[in-house]
Amino acid sequence: MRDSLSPLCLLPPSIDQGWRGLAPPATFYAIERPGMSPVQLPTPLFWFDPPWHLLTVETADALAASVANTGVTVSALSRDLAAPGGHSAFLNLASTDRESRILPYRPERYGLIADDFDHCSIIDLRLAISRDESGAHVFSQNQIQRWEATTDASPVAGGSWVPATTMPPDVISLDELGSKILQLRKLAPSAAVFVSVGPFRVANEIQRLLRPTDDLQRHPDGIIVRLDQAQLAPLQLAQQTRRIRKCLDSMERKAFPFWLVPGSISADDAARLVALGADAIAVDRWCDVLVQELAEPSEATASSFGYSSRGIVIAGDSAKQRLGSWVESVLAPNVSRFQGLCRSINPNAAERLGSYDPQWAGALGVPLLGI
Amino acid sequence: MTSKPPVDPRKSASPVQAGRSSQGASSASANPSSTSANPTAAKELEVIEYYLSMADLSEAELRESIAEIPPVPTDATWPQVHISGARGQHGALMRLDHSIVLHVDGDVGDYAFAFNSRCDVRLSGSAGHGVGEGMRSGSIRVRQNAGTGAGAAMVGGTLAIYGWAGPRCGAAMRGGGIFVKGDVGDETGVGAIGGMIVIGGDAGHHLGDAMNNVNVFIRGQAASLAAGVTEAPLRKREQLRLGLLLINASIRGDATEFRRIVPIAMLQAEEARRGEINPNWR
Repeated sequence: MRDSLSPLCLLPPSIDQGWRGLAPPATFYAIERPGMSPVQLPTPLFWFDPPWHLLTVETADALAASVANTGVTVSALSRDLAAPGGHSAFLNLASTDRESRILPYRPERYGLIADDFDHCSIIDLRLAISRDESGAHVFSQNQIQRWEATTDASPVAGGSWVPATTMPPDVISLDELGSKILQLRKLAPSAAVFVSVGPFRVANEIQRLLRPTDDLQRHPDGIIVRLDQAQLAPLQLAQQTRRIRKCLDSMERKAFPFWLVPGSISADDAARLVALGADAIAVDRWCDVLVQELAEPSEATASSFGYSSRGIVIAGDSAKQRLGSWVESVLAPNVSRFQGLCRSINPNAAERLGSYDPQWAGALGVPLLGI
Repeated sequence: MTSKPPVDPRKSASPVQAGRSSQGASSASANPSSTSANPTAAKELEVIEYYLSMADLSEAELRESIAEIPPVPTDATWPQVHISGARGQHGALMRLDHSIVLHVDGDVGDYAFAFNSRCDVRLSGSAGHGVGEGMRSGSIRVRQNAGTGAGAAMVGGTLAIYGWAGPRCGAAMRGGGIFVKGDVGDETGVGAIGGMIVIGGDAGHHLGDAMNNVNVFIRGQAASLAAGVTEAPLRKREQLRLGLLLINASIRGDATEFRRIVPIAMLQAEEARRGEINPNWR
């Protein structure tokens, strides 16, 4: 991955600072919830919107488990990973608290079943409208077919697309969303409830989501901002990240979890975004390449995992182990690099970042480096 | 049904019938009139009743009490659970999965009975927004009115509302049937991809917006139909299905009084399957 935020430098301690021991690596990332126990995730990295429908359920399930094993929290419905009445190894791991799962609660709720509320760490109340591969605000036939388990002979909408929406139809307005959040808290008491929004009216939406109330449980536990939908230039991405954090700070929500879906980034960029104020970073581009390789396999991949008329079907312990090793070889270096860089960020330091580029330094309000 | 007064479930844990005890829930004796010389028939008619109060129990305690109700054989009458103290609580009685009949006295707030399975719910008052969201099977009968998004994303079962329903009734529903005796608001059935909606009164604007594979039956008038839906002939098969839903909702009515609204694409597919020719070619 290219370092698009490379004009920004993570600043080391100044040379006059004494020798300080390094804090031990964090074993988990905690999300505080008002009046409730915190939710713990292995790392502040997550896979926001996996295109599970491109894979068979067996392969999707094995991939979800393998990615989660590297510390990345994975978003999935049970219908994404198992046929109705089927078994999911990933959901089984999540049920034993060995892996973390994000439950995508889309306004349309296609594919959502009651069991989805079990064993999830995060509920993502998704107000950011979905797009299919073509860019339209719709769900494709394959996507709906996976969620609703329809047969080829009787597809939904005659095999055409199904329109997507933004606000849940049983919520009157954004100002009334607190009632829905309380419902989700009851349905999954051990999960944190996040709201994901698009990038276009984010300041207004944050103001409305966090409007003062006597009952803080009506507020989400965190917000996910899909900056990837805007195709921002690198400097704009950095600026927006910093502005969103400042917006939360100005509302006296300095510790409010702000998760970011930035698009294509490197591990170094992910750490820079944390230094700019994001709390967790979506790494969809790191993981989507795995899906692409399994959906349209090269000869080497096909011969490694076995290919059938349904595509690659990861079945059996041996194939799952090979998949796990492959996924780890792809993701672990990035995850490790991200964690190492994050350990080097002093959260109490006044200056975490600097730039040699006057434009970047001026736009972001960070020190201009160099002589 | 017996007419016993409500019993505080925390004070009574001694069931009348052996093997039917339930801590946290009280049980009363079977209706004496159900006893019969025929022991098999008596067993089938036996009615076990429980009395719980939403005013006295927390949501968790209420769920726990219901979960402790022992299952009955499939051929037996389902336990009758009487719930008092409903005063607009939000998120009431969600994710129940029991073969019981719930008689809820009063009004409930938003998202009541969401994601339920099997339960037969009878609510004496009104429900807030999202009543029966995601319900999988069973039935919910709301004696009065329902708010926005009644039956949203429901998968199966029957939701019957004997008053009126607010906007977006049946939105994103994926199966099952909704019956509203009175009027419904705007955008009824928006985004629905399966199931059936029956409207006894009038409908608001944009009826059937973004709707697929859904039949809407309406007795009154719609303020406007959404683009992509049209009125279609009420065929014998739909009459039968509608009649069944009316029976399930305990409604007297003649299916032929209703008009059928469907997505144009669905109607064209139906006609193609039947090999019908449009007589307007001349």
